[in-house]
Amino acid sequence: MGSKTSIDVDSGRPTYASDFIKHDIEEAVFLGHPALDNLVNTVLALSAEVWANRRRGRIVEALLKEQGITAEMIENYRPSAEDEAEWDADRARFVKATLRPLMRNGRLPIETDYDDKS
Amino acid sequence: MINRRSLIAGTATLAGTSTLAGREAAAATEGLLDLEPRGSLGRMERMPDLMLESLHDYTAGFRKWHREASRMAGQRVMQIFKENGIDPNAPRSTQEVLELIGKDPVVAMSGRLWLSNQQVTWSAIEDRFNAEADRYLEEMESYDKRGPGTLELNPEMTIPDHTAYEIHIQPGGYVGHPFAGHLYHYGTNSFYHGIYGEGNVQDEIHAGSANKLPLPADGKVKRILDLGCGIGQLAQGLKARFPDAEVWALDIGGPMVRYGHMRSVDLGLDINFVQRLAEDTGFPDDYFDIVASYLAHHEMPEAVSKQVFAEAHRITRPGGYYYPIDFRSGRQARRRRTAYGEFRRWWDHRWNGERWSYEFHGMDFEGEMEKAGLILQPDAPEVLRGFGIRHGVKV
Repeated sequence: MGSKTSIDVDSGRPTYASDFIKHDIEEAVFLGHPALDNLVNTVLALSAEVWANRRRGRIVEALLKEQGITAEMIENYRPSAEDEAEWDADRARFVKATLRPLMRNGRLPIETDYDDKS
Repeated sequence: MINRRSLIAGTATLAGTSTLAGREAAAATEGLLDLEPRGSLGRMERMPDLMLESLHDYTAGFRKWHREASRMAGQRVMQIFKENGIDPNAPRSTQEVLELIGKDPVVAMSGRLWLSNQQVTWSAIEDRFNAEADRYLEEMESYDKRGPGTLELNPEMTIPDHTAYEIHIQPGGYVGHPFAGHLYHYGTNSFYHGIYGEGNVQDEIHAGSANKLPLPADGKVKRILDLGCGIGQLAQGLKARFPDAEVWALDIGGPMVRYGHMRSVDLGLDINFVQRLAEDTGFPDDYFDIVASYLAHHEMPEAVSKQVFAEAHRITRPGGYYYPIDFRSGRQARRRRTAYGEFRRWWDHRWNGERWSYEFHGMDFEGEMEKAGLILQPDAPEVLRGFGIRHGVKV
Protein backbone atom coordinates (compact mmCIF):
# COMPACT_ATOMS: atom_id res chain seq x y z
CA MET A 1 0.00 0.00 0.00
CA GLY A 2 1.09 3.60 -0.55
CA SER A 3 3.17 5.83 1.62
CA LYS A 4 1.62 8.66 3.57
CA THR A 5 0.65 11.79 1.75
CA SER A 6 -1.53 14.85 2.23
CA ILE A 7 -4.05 16.92 0.31
CA ASP A 8 -3.60 20.61 -0.40
CA VAL A 9 -6.51 22.86 -1.20
CA ASP A 10 -6.47 26.42 -2.38
CA SER A 11 -6.94 28.13 0.98
CA GLY A 12 -4.84 29.40 3.82
CA ARG A 13 -7.40 28.29 6.39
CA PRO A 14 -6.85 25.38 8.78
CA THR A 15 -8.33 22.18 7.43
CA TYR A 16 -7.88 19.78 10.39
CA ALA A 17 -6.93 17.11 7.85
CA SER A 18 -3.95 14.81 8.48
CA ASP A 19 -1.58 12.74 6.43
CA PHE A 20 -3.18 9.59 5.08
CA ILE A 21 -2.18 6.37 3.34
CA LYS A 22 -3.07 6.47 -0.35
CA HIS A 23 -4.79 3.45 -1.88
CA ASP A 24 -3.24 2.03 -5.05
CA ILE A 25 -6.52 1.74 -6.96
CA GLU A 26 -5.11 3.88 -9.79
CA GLU A 27 -2.68 1.09 -10.57
CA ALA A 28 -5.22 -1.73 -10.64
CA VAL A 29 -5.57 -3.75 -13.85
CA PHE A 30 -8.60 -6.07 -13.87
CA LEU A 31 -9.09 -6.56 -17.60
CA GLY A 32 -5.70 -7.79 -18.69
CA HIS A 33 -4.38 -4.49 -20.02
CA PRO A 34 -4.41 -1.06 -18.34
CA ALA A 35 -5.81 0.52 -21.48
CA LEU A 36 -8.90 -1.66 -21.17
CA ASP A 37 -9.41 -0.65 -17.55
CA ASN A 38 -8.93 2.97 -18.59
CA LEU A 39 -11.48 2.54 -21.34
CA VAL A 40 -14.06 1.25 -18.92
CA ASN A 41 -13.36 4.22 -16.64
CA THR A 42 -13.95 6.54 -19.57
CA VAL A 43 -17.11 4.72 -20.65
CA LEU A 44 -18.55 4.94 -17.16
CA ALA A 45 -17.64 8.61 -16.79
CA LEU A 46 -19.23 9.33 -20.16
CA SER A 47 -22.31 7.35 -19.19
CA ALA A 48 -22.63 9.48 -16.03
CA GLU A 49 -22.19 12.70 -18.03
CA VAL A 50 -24.77 11.67 -20.60
CA TRP A 51 -27.29 10.89 -17.88
CA ALA A 52 -26.52 14.19 -16.10
CA ASN A 53 -27.27 16.06 -19.31
CA ARG A 54 -30.41 14.05 -19.99
CA ARG A 55 -31.63 14.83 -16.49
CA ARG A 56 -30.96 18.51 -17.03
CA GLY A 57 -32.92 18.27 -20.27
CA ARG A 58 -35.86 16.77 -18.35
CA ILE A 59 -35.75 19.63 -15.90
CA VAL A 60 -35.69 22.17 -18.72
CA GLU A 61 -38.65 20.44 -20.37
CA ALA A 62 -40.55 20.38 -17.08
CA LEU A 63 -40.03 24.12 -16.65
CA LEU A 64 -40.96 24.80 -20.26
CA LYS A 65 -44.14 22.81 -19.83
CA GLU A 66 -45.15 25.20 -17.07
CA GLN A 67 -44.81 27.93 -19.68
CA GLY A 68 -46.94 26.07 -22.20
CA ILE A 69 -44.25 24.30 -24.21
CA THR A 70 -45.14 20.60 -24.16
CA ALA A 71 -43.17 17.42 -24.75
CA GLU A 72 -45.34 16.84 -27.83
CA MET A 73 -44.24 20.19 -29.25
CA ILE A 74 -40.66 19.18 -28.66
CA GLU A 75 -41.22 15.78 -30.27
CA ASN A 76 -42.75 17.41 -33.32
CA TYR A 77 -40.29 20.27 -33.62
CA ARG A 78 -39.14 20.82 -37.21
CA PRO A 79 -35.61 22.21 -37.33
CA SER A 80 -35.05 25.12 -39.61
CA ALA A 81 -32.42 24.95 -42.32
CA GLU A 82 -30.17 27.02 -40.10
CA ASP A 83 -30.76 24.61 -37.17
CA GLU A 84 -29.93 21.63 -39.41
CA ALA A 85 -26.71 23.17 -40.66
CA GLU A 86 -25.57 24.06 -37.18
CA TRP A 87 -26.56 20.73 -35.69
CA ASP A 88 -24.99 18.77 -38.56
CA ALA A 89 -21.68 20.43 -37.95
CA ASP A 90 -21.90 19.74 -34.23
CA ARG A 91 -22.92 16.14 -34.88
CA ALA A 92 -19.98 15.61 -37.23
CA ARG A 93 -17.61 16.99 -34.64
CA PHE A 94 -19.12 14.82 -31.89
CA VAL A 95 -19.09 11.58 -33.88
CA LYS A 96 -15.55 12.10 -35.11
CA ALA A 97 -14.26 12.98 -31.66
CA THR A 98 -15.83 9.94 -30.03
CA LEU A 99 -15.36 7.24 -32.66
CA ARG A 100 -12.28 8.08 -34.70
CA PRO A 101 -9.87 6.98 -31.96
CA LEU A 102 -11.31 3.46 -32.21
CA MET A 103 -10.06 3.17 -35.80
CA ARG A 104 -6.45 3.70 -34.91
CA ASN A 105 -4.34 0.80 -36.16
CA GLY A 106 -1.40 0.98 -33.85
CA ARG A 107 1.21 -1.68 -34.51
CA LEU A 108 4.40 -0.54 -32.96
CA PRO A 109 5.23 -2.00 -29.60
CA ILE A 110 6.86 0.37 -27.19
CA GLU A 111 10.34 -1.05 -27.74
CA THR A 112 10.38 -0.23 -31.48
CA ASP A 113 13.34 1.98 -32.46
CA TYR A 114 13.44 4.56 -35.29
CA ASP A 115 15.08 2.25 -37.84
CA ASP A 116 13.19 -0.89 -36.93
CA LYS A 117 9.69 -0.58 -38.34
CA SER A 118 9.38 -3.76 -40.32
CA MET B 1 -34.29 28.56 -2.38
CA ILE B 2 -34.64 29.56 -6.01
CA ASN B 3 -38.12 30.51 -7.25
CA ARG B 4 -38.70 28.70 -10.50
CA ARG B 5 -41.39 31.04 -11.80
CA SER B 6 -39.32 34.14 -11.28
CA LEU B 7 -36.45 32.31 -12.96
CA ILE B 8 -38.47 32.01 -16.13
CA ALA B 9 -39.64 35.60 -15.82
CA GLY B 10 -36.03 36.63 -15.58
CA THR B 11 -36.44 38.59 -12.41
CA ALA B 12 -34.47 36.28 -10.09
CA THR B 13 -30.74 35.72 -9.96
CA LEU B 14 -29.95 32.34 -11.44
CA ALA B 15 -28.39 30.04 -8.85
CA GLY B 16 -26.12 28.75 -11.57
CA THR B 17 -24.58 32.17 -12.15
CA SER B 18 -23.82 32.64 -8.49
CA THR B 19 -22.64 29.55 -6.73
CA LEU B 20 -23.08 31.10 -3.32
CA ALA B 21 -26.68 32.31 -3.49
CA GLY B 22 -29.53 30.81 -1.52
CA ARG B 23 -29.57 31.27 2.22
CA GLU B 24 -26.12 32.83 2.43
CA ALA B 25 -27.34 36.39 2.84
CA ALA B 26 -29.88 35.56 5.52
CA ALA B 27 -27.49 33.38 7.53
CA ALA B 28 -24.72 35.95 7.35
CA THR B 29 -26.72 38.32 9.51
CA GLU B 30 -26.56 35.73 12.31
CA GLY B 31 -22.79 35.40 12.01
CA LEU B 32 -23.05 31.98 10.41
CA LEU B 33 -22.02 31.41 6.84
CA ASP B 34 -24.49 28.75 5.71
CA LEU B 35 -23.78 27.90 2.09
CA GLU B 36 -26.85 26.36 0.52
CA PRO B 37 -26.87 27.60 -3.05
CA ARG B 38 -29.74 25.30 -3.97
CA GLY B 39 -31.50 25.06 -0.64
CA SER B 40 -32.34 21.86 1.22
CA LEU B 41 -34.48 18.78 0.90
CA GLY B 42 -35.58 18.36 4.50
CA ARG B 43 -32.43 17.62 6.50
CA MET B 44 -30.20 17.29 3.49
CA GLU B 45 -28.61 20.32 1.87
CA ARG B 46 -28.92 19.86 -1.87
CA MET B 47 -25.69 19.43 -3.73
CA PRO B 48 -24.32 22.83 -4.71
CA ASP B 49 -24.99 22.50 -8.43
CA LEU B 50 -27.32 20.60 -10.72
CA MET B 51 -24.54 18.83 -12.61
CA LEU B 52 -23.10 17.35 -9.42
CA GLU B 53 -26.55 16.31 -8.22
CA SER B 54 -27.27 14.69 -11.58
CA LEU B 55 -23.94 12.85 -11.67
CA HIS B 56 -24.78 11.54 -8.23
CA ASP B 57 -28.19 10.54 -9.34
CA TYR B 58 -26.45 8.43 -11.96
CA THR B 59 -24.18 6.75 -9.41
CA ALA B 60 -27.22 5.81 -7.32
CA GLY B 61 -28.87 4.32 -10.38
CA PHE B 62 -25.67 2.47 -11.19
CA ARG B 63 -25.57 0.90 -7.75
CA LYS B 64 -29.10 -0.38 -8.14
CA TRP B 65 -28.23 -1.87 -11.54
CA HIS B 66 -24.97 -3.35 -10.33
CA ARG B 67 -26.83 -5.81 -8.12
CA GLU B 68 -27.82 -7.45 -11.40
CA ALA B 69 -24.25 -7.33 -12.73
CA SER B 70 -23.05 -8.93 -9.53
CA ARG B 71 -25.64 -11.70 -9.85
CA MET B 72 -24.47 -12.30 -13.42
CA ALA B 73 -20.88 -12.50 -12.21
CA GLY B 74 -21.94 -14.91 -9.49
CA GLN B 75 -23.69 -17.12 -12.05
CA ARG B 76 -20.58 -17.03 -14.21
CA VAL B 77 -18.51 -18.15 -11.23
CA MET B 78 -20.84 -21.09 -10.62
CA GLN B 79 -20.48 -22.00 -14.27
CA ILE B 80 -16.67 -21.88 -14.08
CA PHE B 81 -16.65 -24.10 -11.03
CA LYS B 82 -19.02 -26.55 -12.68
CA GLU B 83 -16.94 -26.64 -15.88
CA ASN B 84 -13.92 -27.48 -13.74
CA GLY B 85 -15.76 -30.11 -11.70
CA ILE B 86 -15.32 -28.14 -8.46
CA ASP B 87 -17.84 -27.81 -5.64
CA PRO B 88 -18.44 -24.03 -5.28
CA ASN B 89 -19.58 -24.46 -1.67
CA ALA B 90 -16.51 -26.34 -0.48
CA PRO B 91 -14.06 -24.26 1.57
CA ARG B 92 -11.32 -22.89 -0.63
CA SER B 93 -8.50 -20.43 -0.12
CA THR B 94 -8.84 -16.97 -1.58
CA GLN B 95 -5.78 -17.64 -3.74
CA GLU B 96 -7.40 -20.73 -5.27
CA VAL B 97 -10.58 -18.82 -6.00
CA LEU B 98 -8.63 -15.92 -7.51
CA GLU B 99 -6.77 -18.29 -9.81
CA LEU B 100 -10.00 -19.86 -10.96
CA ILE B 101 -12.13 -16.78 -11.55
CA GLY B 102 -10.04 -13.64 -11.14
CA LYS B 103 -9.32 -13.21 -14.85
CA ASP B 104 -12.75 -14.16 -16.15
CA PRO B 105 -14.00 -11.20 -18.25
CA VAL B 106 -17.50 -11.16 -16.75
CA VAL B 107 -16.24 -11.29 -13.17
CA ALA B 108 -13.48 -8.77 -13.84
CA MET B 109 -15.82 -6.38 -15.65
CA SER B 110 -18.32 -6.44 -12.78
CA GLY B 111 -15.56 -5.37 -10.40
CA ARG B 112 -14.07 -2.82 -12.75
CA LEU B 113 -17.41 -1.15 -13.39
CA TRP B 114 -18.19 -1.00 -9.69
CA LEU B 115 -14.89 0.69 -8.91
CA SER B 116 -15.19 3.08 -11.84
CA ASN B 117 -18.56 4.17 -10.45
CA GLN B 118 -17.03 4.51 -7.01
CA GLN B 119 -14.33 6.74 -8.42
CA VAL B 120 -16.85 8.93 -10.25
CA THR B 121 -18.83 9.18 -7.00
CA TRP B 122 -15.86 10.59 -5.13
CA SER B 123 -14.16 12.67 -7.79
CA ALA B 124 -17.28 14.65 -8.68
CA ILE B 125 -17.83 15.72 -5.06
CA GLU B 126 -14.15 16.33 -4.41
CA ASP B 127 -13.69 18.50 -7.48
CA ARG B 128 -16.72 20.59 -6.61
CA PHE B 129 -15.80 21.41 -3.04
CA ASN B 130 -12.11 21.80 -3.80
CA ALA B 131 -13.00 24.38 -6.46
CA GLU B 132 -14.37 26.65 -3.72
CA ALA B 133 -12.26 25.31 -0.89
CA ASP B 134 -11.69 28.61 0.83
CA ARG B 135 -15.38 29.44 0.93
CA TYR B 136 -16.44 26.04 2.25
CA LEU B 137 -13.67 26.07 4.85
CA GLU B 138 -14.85 29.52 5.85
CA GLU B 139 -18.33 28.08 6.25
CA MET B 140 -17.10 25.37 8.61
CA GLU B 141 -15.01 27.92 10.52
CA SER B 142 -18.08 30.03 11.16
CA TYR B 143 -19.72 27.01 12.84
CA ASP B 144 -16.73 25.66 14.79
CA LYS B 145 -17.37 27.69 17.91
CA ARG B 146 -21.13 27.98 17.57
CA GLY B 147 -23.81 26.02 19.34
CA PRO B 148 -25.93 24.24 20.01
CA GLY B 149 -23.42 21.62 21.03
CA THR B 150 -19.66 21.81 21.01
CA LEU B 151 -16.72 20.80 18.85
CA GLU B 152 -13.34 19.65 20.13
CA LEU B 153 -10.63 19.36 17.48
CA ASN B 154 -7.14 18.12 18.28
CA PRO B 155 -4.90 18.97 15.33
CA GLU B 156 -1.74 18.15 17.28
CA MET B 157 -2.74 14.63 18.23
CA THR B 158 -0.96 11.68 16.69
CA ILE B 159 -3.18 10.03 14.12
CA PRO B 160 -2.41 6.29 14.14
CA ASP B 161 -1.78 4.65 10.80
CA HIS B 162 -4.69 2.25 11.16
CA THR B 163 -7.10 5.19 10.87
CA ALA B 164 -5.31 6.76 7.91
CA TYR B 165 -6.38 4.46 5.08
CA GLU B 166 -8.67 5.51 2.27
CA ILE B 167 -11.62 3.41 3.35
CA HIS B 168 -14.04 2.92 0.41
CA ILE B 169 -11.22 4.51 -1.65
CA GLN B 170 -12.66 7.84 -0.46
CA PRO B 171 -9.98 10.43 -1.27
CA GLY B 172 -8.02 11.13 1.89
CA GLY B 173 -10.09 8.66 3.90
CA TYR B 174 -11.66 9.97 7.08
CA VAL B 175 -8.67 11.88 8.34
CA GLY B 176 -6.90 13.21 5.28
CA HIS B 177 -9.31 15.38 3.31
CA PRO B 178 -10.51 18.82 4.41
CA PHE B 179 -13.94 17.92 3.04
CA ALA B 180 -14.04 14.32 4.29
CA GLY B 181 -17.40 15.01 5.90
CA HIS B 182 -18.94 16.37 2.70
CA LEU B 183 -17.47 13.49 0.67
CA TYR B 184 -18.70 10.92 3.16
CA HIS B 185 -22.19 12.36 3.53
CA TYR B 186 -23.03 12.79 -0.14
CA GLY B 187 -21.05 9.74 -1.26
CA THR B 188 -22.47 7.23 1.17
CA ASN B 189 -26.03 8.29 0.44
CA SER B 190 -25.45 6.62 -2.89
CA PHE B 191 -24.14 3.48 -1.15
CA TYR B 192 -27.49 2.72 0.43
CA HIS B 193 -29.05 2.35 -2.99
CA GLY B 194 -26.88 -0.68 -3.50
CA ILE B 195 -27.74 -2.20 -0.12
CA TYR B 196 -31.40 -1.38 0.44
CA GLY B 197 -32.43 -0.11 -2.99
CA GLU B 198 -33.06 3.34 -1.51
CA GLY B 199 -31.02 6.25 -0.20
CA ASN B 200 -30.60 7.74 3.25
CA VAL B 201 -31.27 11.35 2.37
CA GLN B 202 -33.14 12.14 5.59
CA ASP B 203 -30.85 10.00 7.76
CA GLU B 204 -33.82 7.70 8.05
CA ILE B 205 -31.65 4.60 8.33
CA HIS B 206 -29.67 6.04 11.23
CA ALA B 207 -32.82 7.37 12.87
CA GLY B 208 -34.38 3.93 12.53
CA SER B 209 -31.42 2.36 14.32
CA ALA B 210 -31.42 5.04 17.01
CA ASN B 211 -35.11 4.41 17.63
CA LYS B 212 -34.66 0.65 17.89
CA LEU B 213 -31.79 0.70 20.37
CA PRO B 214 -33.12 -0.74 23.63
CA LEU B 215 -33.33 1.17 26.89
CA PRO B 216 -31.08 0.11 29.76
CA ALA B 217 -32.93 -2.13 32.20
CA ASP B 218 -33.50 0.75 34.63
CA GLY B 219 -34.68 3.04 31.84
CA LYS B 220 -32.17 5.72 32.77
CA VAL B 221 -30.65 7.50 29.77
CA LYS B 222 -28.82 10.65 30.77
CA ARG B 223 -25.64 10.37 28.75
CA ILE B 224 -25.00 8.68 25.38
CA LEU B 225 -21.92 8.20 23.19
CA ASP B 226 -21.78 7.51 19.46
CA LEU B 227 -18.36 5.84 19.26
CA GLY B 228 -16.57 6.16 15.91
CA CYS B 229 -19.35 8.51 14.86
CA GLY B 230 -18.21 9.58 11.41
CA ILE B 231 -20.38 12.62 10.71
CA GLY B 232 -22.62 11.85 13.66
CA GLN B 233 -25.77 10.61 11.97
CA LEU B 234 -26.48 8.03 14.69
CA ALA B 235 -25.80 10.64 17.39
CA GLN B 236 -28.29 12.95 15.71
CA GLY B 237 -30.91 10.21 15.76
CA LEU B 238 -30.17 9.52 19.42
CA LYS B 239 -30.44 13.19 20.37
CA ALA B 240 -33.79 13.39 18.59
CA ARG B 241 -34.99 10.33 20.53
CA PHE B 242 -33.52 11.43 23.88
CA PRO B 243 -33.66 15.24 23.75
CA ASP B 244 -32.86 15.60 27.45
CA ALA B 245 -29.80 13.36 27.31
CA GLU B 246 -26.25 14.64 26.96
CA VAL B 247 -25.08 13.22 23.64
CA TRP B 248 -21.46 12.86 22.61
CA ALA B 249 -20.08 11.89 19.22
CA LEU B 250 -16.47 10.75 18.87
CA ASP B 251 -14.33 10.12 15.80
CA ILE B 252 -10.65 10.34 14.89
CA GLY B 253 -11.41 12.21 11.66
CA GLY B 254 -11.14 15.96 12.38
CA PRO B 255 -12.93 16.99 9.16
CA MET B 256 -15.62 14.39 9.89
CA VAL B 257 -16.55 15.66 13.36
CA ARG B 258 -16.25 19.20 12.09
CA TYR B 259 -18.82 18.55 9.40
CA GLY B 260 -21.00 16.62 11.87
CA HIS B 261 -20.96 19.56 14.27
CA MET B 262 -21.82 22.02 11.51
CA ARG B 263 -24.74 19.90 10.42
CA SER B 264 -25.95 19.41 13.99
CA VAL B 265 -25.96 23.17 14.55
CA ASP B 266 -28.06 23.57 11.39
CA LEU B 267 -30.43 20.88 12.66
CA GLY B 268 -30.64 22.52 16.09
CA LEU B 269 -29.23 19.43 17.84
CA ASP B 270 -27.12 19.86 20.97
CA ILE B 271 -24.35 17.27 20.46
CA ASN B 272 -20.77 17.36 21.69
CA PHE B 273 -18.41 16.31 18.91
CA VAL B 274 -14.84 15.31 19.81
CA GLN B 275 -11.86 14.30 17.70
CA ARG B 276 -10.40 11.43 19.76
CA LEU B 277 -9.59 7.76 19.43
CA ALA B 278 -12.28 5.17 20.06
CA GLU B 279 -9.75 2.99 21.86
CA ASP B 280 -8.67 5.87 24.12
CA THR B 281 -11.64 8.16 24.59
CA GLY B 282 -10.48 10.11 27.63
CA PHE B 283 -13.91 9.79 29.26
CA PRO B 284 -14.20 8.81 32.94
CA ASP B 285 -15.14 5.30 34.09
CA ASP B 286 -18.85 4.43 34.18
CA TYR B 287 -19.73 7.63 32.34
CA PHE B 288 -22.37 6.68 29.77
CA ASP B 289 -25.74 4.97 29.95
CA ILE B 290 -25.62 3.97 26.28
CA VAL B 291 -22.58 3.59 24.04
CA ALA B 292 -23.30 2.67 20.44
CA SER B 293 -21.34 2.54 17.21
CA TYR B 294 -22.50 2.37 13.62
CA LEU B 295 -20.46 0.27 11.17
CA ALA B 296 -17.22 1.23 12.92
CA HIS B 297 -15.60 -2.06 13.91
CA HIS B 298 -15.18 -3.47 10.41
CA GLU B 299 -13.05 -0.38 9.72
CA MET B 300 -10.51 -1.05 12.47
CA PRO B 301 -7.93 -3.81 13.01
CA GLU B 302 -8.89 -6.71 15.21
CA ALA B 303 -6.40 -5.65 17.87
CA VAL B 304 -7.97 -2.20 18.01
CA SER B 305 -11.50 -3.64 18.06
CA LYS B 306 -10.54 -5.51 21.21
CA GLN B 307 -9.22 -2.30 22.75
CA VAL B 308 -12.44 -0.53 21.81
CA PHE B 309 -14.53 -3.25 23.50
CA ALA B 310 -12.48 -2.79 26.65
CA GLU B 311 -12.78 0.99 26.46
CA ALA B 312 -16.52 0.83 25.81
CA HIS B 313 -16.89 -1.42 28.85
CA ARG B 314 -14.87 0.98 30.99
CA ILE B 315 -16.82 4.09 30.11
CA THR B 316 -20.26 2.44 30.31
CA ARG B 317 -21.90 2.56 33.72
CA PRO B 318 -23.12 -0.66 35.34
CA GLY B 319 -26.54 -1.42 33.87
CA GLY B 320 -25.71 0.48 30.70
CA TYR B 321 -24.67 -1.15 27.46
CA TYR B 322 -22.53 -1.07 24.33
CA TYR B 323 -24.25 -1.87 21.03
CA PRO B 324 -21.76 -1.99 18.14
CA ILE B 325 -23.93 -2.13 15.01
CA ASP B 326 -21.97 -3.86 12.27
CA PHE B 327 -22.00 -6.51 9.57
CA ARG B 328 -22.96 -9.97 10.64
CA SER B 329 -19.80 -11.86 11.53
CA GLY B 330 -18.45 -14.30 14.12
CA ARG B 331 -21.27 -16.31 15.67
CA GLN B 332 -23.82 -14.42 13.60
CA ALA B 333 -22.03 -14.94 10.28
CA ARG B 334 -24.24 -16.27 7.55
CA ARG B 335 -23.67 -20.01 7.61
CA ARG B 336 -23.31 -20.71 3.93
CA ARG B 337 -20.86 -18.66 1.97
CA THR B 338 -20.08 -19.55 -1.63
CA ALA B 339 -16.66 -19.27 -3.21
CA TYR B 340 -17.89 -16.17 -5.06
CA GLY B 341 -19.03 -14.68 -1.76
CA GLU B 342 -15.57 -15.21 -0.32
CA PHE B 343 -14.00 -13.70 -3.43
CA ARG B 344 -16.23 -10.63 -3.13
CA ARG B 345 -15.36 -10.24 0.52
CA TRP B 346 -11.64 -10.30 -0.30
CA TRP B 347 -12.15 -8.03 -3.28
CA ASP B 348 -14.05 -5.47 -1.16
CA HIS B 349 -11.21 -5.54 1.34
CA ARG B 350 -8.45 -5.21 -1.25
CA TRP B 351 -9.87 -2.97 -3.97
CA ASN B 352 -12.67 -1.08 -2.29
CA GLY B 353 -10.31 0.05 0.45
CA GLU B 354 -12.01 -1.89 3.25
CA ARG B 355 -8.57 -2.37 4.76
CA TRP B 356 -9.71 -4.09 7.95
CA SER B 357 -12.87 -5.90 6.91
CA TYR B 358 -11.13 -9.20 6.29
CA GLU B 359 -9.77 -9.24 9.86
CA PHE B 360 -13.20 -8.21 11.11
CA HIS B 361 -14.89 -11.19 9.50
CA GLY B 362 -12.28 -13.56 10.87
CA MET B 363 -12.69 -12.34 14.45
CA ASP B 364 -14.90 -13.92 17.11
CA PHE B 365 -16.73 -10.63 17.55
CA GLU B 366 -19.15 -11.75 20.22
CA GLY B 367 -16.44 -13.67 22.05
CA GLU B 368 -14.27 -10.58 22.25
CA MET B 369 -17.20 -8.52 23.55
CA GLU B 370 -17.64 -11.12 26.28
CA LYS B 371 -13.94 -11.13 27.10
CA ALA B 372 -14.20 -7.38 27.64
CA GLY B 373 -16.88 -8.02 30.24
CA LEU B 374 -19.97 -7.23 28.19
CA ILE B 375 -22.88 -9.62 28.73
CA LEU B 376 -24.55 -10.40 25.43
CA GLN B 377 -28.34 -10.13 25.19
CA PRO B 378 -29.39 -12.34 22.27
CA ASP B 379 -33.06 -11.36 22.61
CA ALA B 380 -32.31 -7.68 22.05
CA PRO B 381 -33.63 -6.09 18.87
CA GLU B 382 -31.75 -6.06 15.58
CA VAL B 383 -31.44 -2.33 15.13
CA LEU B 384 -30.24 -2.33 11.52
CA ARG B 385 -32.01 -4.78 9.22
CA GLY B 386 -29.78 -7.68 8.30
CA PHE B 387 -26.91 -6.67 10.57
CA GLY B 388 -27.49 -8.94 13.54
CA ILE B 389 -27.76 -8.28 17.26
CA ARG B 390 -24.82 -7.02 19.31
CA HIS B 391 -26.23 -5.85 22.61
CA GLY B 392 -23.62 -6.05 25.36
CA VAL B 393 -24.62 -5.01 28.90
CA LYS B 394 -22.17 -3.99 31.57
CA VAL B 395 -23.10 -5.42 34.95
